[in-house]
Amino acid sequence: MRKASILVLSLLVVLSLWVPSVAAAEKIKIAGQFGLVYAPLMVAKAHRIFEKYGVEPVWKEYGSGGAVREALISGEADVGFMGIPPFLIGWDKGCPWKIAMGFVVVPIGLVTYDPEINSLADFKPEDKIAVPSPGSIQHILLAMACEQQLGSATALDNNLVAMPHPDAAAALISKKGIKAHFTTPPYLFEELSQPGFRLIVDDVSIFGHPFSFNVGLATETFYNQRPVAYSIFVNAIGDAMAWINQNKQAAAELLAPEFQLSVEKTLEYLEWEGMNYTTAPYGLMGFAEFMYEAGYISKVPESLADIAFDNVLALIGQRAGEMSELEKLQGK
Amino acid sequence: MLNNRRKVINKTLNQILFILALMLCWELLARTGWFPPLLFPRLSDVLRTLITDIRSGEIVGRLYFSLYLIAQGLALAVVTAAVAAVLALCSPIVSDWVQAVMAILHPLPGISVLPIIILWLGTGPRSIVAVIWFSSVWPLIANLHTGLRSVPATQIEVGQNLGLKGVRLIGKVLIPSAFPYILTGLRVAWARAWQASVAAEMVFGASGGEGGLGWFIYKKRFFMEIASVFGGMFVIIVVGLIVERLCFEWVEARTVRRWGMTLE
Amino acid sequence: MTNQAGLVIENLSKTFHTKHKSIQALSGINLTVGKGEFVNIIGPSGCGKSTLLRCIAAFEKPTEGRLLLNGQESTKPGIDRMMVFQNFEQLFPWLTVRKNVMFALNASTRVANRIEQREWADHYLNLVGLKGFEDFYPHQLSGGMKQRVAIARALSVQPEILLMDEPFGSLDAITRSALQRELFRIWQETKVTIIFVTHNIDESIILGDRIVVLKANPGRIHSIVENHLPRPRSKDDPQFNQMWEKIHSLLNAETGIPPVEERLTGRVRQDRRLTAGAYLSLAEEVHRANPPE
Repeated sequence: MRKASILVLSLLVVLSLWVPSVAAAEKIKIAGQFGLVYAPLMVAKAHRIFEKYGVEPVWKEYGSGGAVREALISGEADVGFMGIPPFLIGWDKGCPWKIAMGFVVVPIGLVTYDPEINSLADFKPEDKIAVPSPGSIQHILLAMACEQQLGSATALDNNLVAMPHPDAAAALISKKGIKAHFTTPPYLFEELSQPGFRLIVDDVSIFGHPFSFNVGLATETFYNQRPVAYSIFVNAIGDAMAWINQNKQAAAELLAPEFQLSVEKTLEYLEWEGMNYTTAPYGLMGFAEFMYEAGYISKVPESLADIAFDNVLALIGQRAGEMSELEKLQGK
Repeated sequence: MLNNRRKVINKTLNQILFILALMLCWELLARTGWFPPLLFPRLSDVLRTLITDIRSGEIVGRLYFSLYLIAQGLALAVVTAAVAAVLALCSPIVSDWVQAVMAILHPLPGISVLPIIILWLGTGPRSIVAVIWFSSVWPLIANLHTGLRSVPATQIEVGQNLGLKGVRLIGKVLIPSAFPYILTGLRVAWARAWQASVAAEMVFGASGGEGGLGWFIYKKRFFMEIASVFGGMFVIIVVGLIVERLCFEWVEARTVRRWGMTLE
Repeated sequence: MTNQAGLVIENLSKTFHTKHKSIQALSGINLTVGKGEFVNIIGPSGCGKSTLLRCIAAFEKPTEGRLLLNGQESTKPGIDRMMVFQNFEQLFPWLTVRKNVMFALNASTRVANRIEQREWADHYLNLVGLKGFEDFYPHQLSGGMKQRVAIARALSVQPEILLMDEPFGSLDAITRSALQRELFRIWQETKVTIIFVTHNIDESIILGDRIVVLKANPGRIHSIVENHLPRPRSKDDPQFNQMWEKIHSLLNAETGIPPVEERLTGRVRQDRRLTAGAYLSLAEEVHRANPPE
């Protein structure tokens, strides 16, 4: 018995000494999601961009922004991607993290097939609206639209049903169970290509201007303790985005098998009006202000410095005198 | 008898003290600040939010809705099981069928059929009722079937001797005689229904206005109100305990235990 | 003949069919049981004595022949022929003693009014000596008390015939003889016809007016012994012993080698205080002495 425990102990000591020496390359644990929006992650993975900078990425895929958030909190990931509202909810609750980059600007909106429904006011209590999850960017945008059109952010809360995008798209296209779906590409494109399917509200009509659908985040620990890895993260994702923007055809060929779409279809989606892979953030403050007013968060960031790391602050800039265009775009 | 009672009380006291000690450890551990409150809130915070959630009526409404769906699902399951078991009793062929279907479907967790049920019935409360039904109907049928089969032939013959047949024989002799099994079946069915309702809502998140406790937890998770998530779990535990310990034990003490019919 | 009061069994045969074979349990039984008579049926194991009783109760359908009760053919179970089983499970465990009796009155619609049901139930429970136990549940009773309840329940619907299928077979010797005396008293008080199946020779002699001895393969009537011994019958009476030897030899003649059980009862008769352990070792002893071929 005692011999065995001594053996186990010494084994553990040897292992703990030995493991770090083997893992030569520094690792970055990246929490992403699946879909057209996350194309830069797929490109970075396929082109081994992180490896070129000398670090080893560990790719992790989650089903929702909430799950990515939990991965970051529990230390399962160093960096991750999610919509601004889930980020702000976490920030409000004291998650030690900030925005490291904007990620993508995409068209987004509420699709229905019902000819009777032409505006939010036409939804009857039994008409279900699918969003990916409560507190998601889709949910918050719908709440914004409700406040603008119906006078109350929660007017349609009782119509909400939480469903993952693929399930909701299938349900909407087969006209089963739900009447409308607040969604993003490629589901948005797919649904809109069905006869009679149309947008009731869209991003720009709600928000006033384009906004980052997703942002990249890093924990404070990661930013402070591993500055080199942090800058590699920002640069590598930027490289991937630039490559997509400049090589749409090649990107389509690379991504098509991942999405199980034809190359033509993928290209069509990548070139859809409004698609923009960019690390520049848009609308950071606009969401915070609305969510505070509507009671989803308890405080508003005093300045961008509260929620964004220095590289983002530098990117947005701070014009003396009147605000610059990019500064203005952070509000609503 | 009295001695036995004292033993039971001692045991319960011992268990309650242990749980209280665990709760105290929780509070103290959370207060050390070693863990981020986001992951591990204080028990006192959990209880405080729980009280707020109860006062605001949210928990009560959610609980009512969950129990309402379970009542529907269980009622349907009881009717289905009764029909299946009685048919199986009348015909050996049907009995074989019921046993075959049971063997195939019983091991399937109720929640695993949810995707199909959503396709067929949509995402409303109907689907949750269907999942509850599916989760609870098999243990009910299994117990009812065994229960009816294990009614002593003599009791049936006594009934026949007195002129009972058909529905009267089933109602007056078979059902009471199979009651210990029926009670066990209901117990298992309730536990599975309760789990299924919470799980189903957490998978597809019922609609905002008509969600139960599962939806409450699901929503609180996305808004990162971890204390409320714990609060929802507390309510699930407490209701489960109340039904199991108070309702079922109460019925058991007044029926099978009084009758000396406990299943060993 | 057919209009005679009481039970007439005409040429009754019963064959059981299983998947692979047919077993003839009873063949050509003819028996008449007069009103108020106490008839014992005795025979070796497997002679069909229980089957005969179950045919009378109409739990089994005769393959041939018929049963007439007061000139009417009876083919369905009914409260005119109430069965008391050997099995203690015949009581409904979820009902109290009184409710078990009331159940019979209610189910048979013999008595509709609940207050009357209660009075009847208490009357019959009193008759079997269970006054004070009305609110007990069956599991709280001894085996003998359970059988008393079963008798009270069967009698409560005032049957024409009480069919008793080894009702005391699972009781210890002392309880058994106590219940035999009780049954005799009840029979005298109620004037009910009793057909009593047993494999215990003592029991058949103590209780019956007539003893129907069956033989096996297929079950048929071997002989009918009239029993006019003066009551109350005592085992110390030399006539009792003569009768015992007679029935014993009839049973033995039938099987060649008497069943172990029958031979045991012969020995047990000598020593009434036999414990279960002693009984078992005795059984072993008999086995060794007469190894089965």
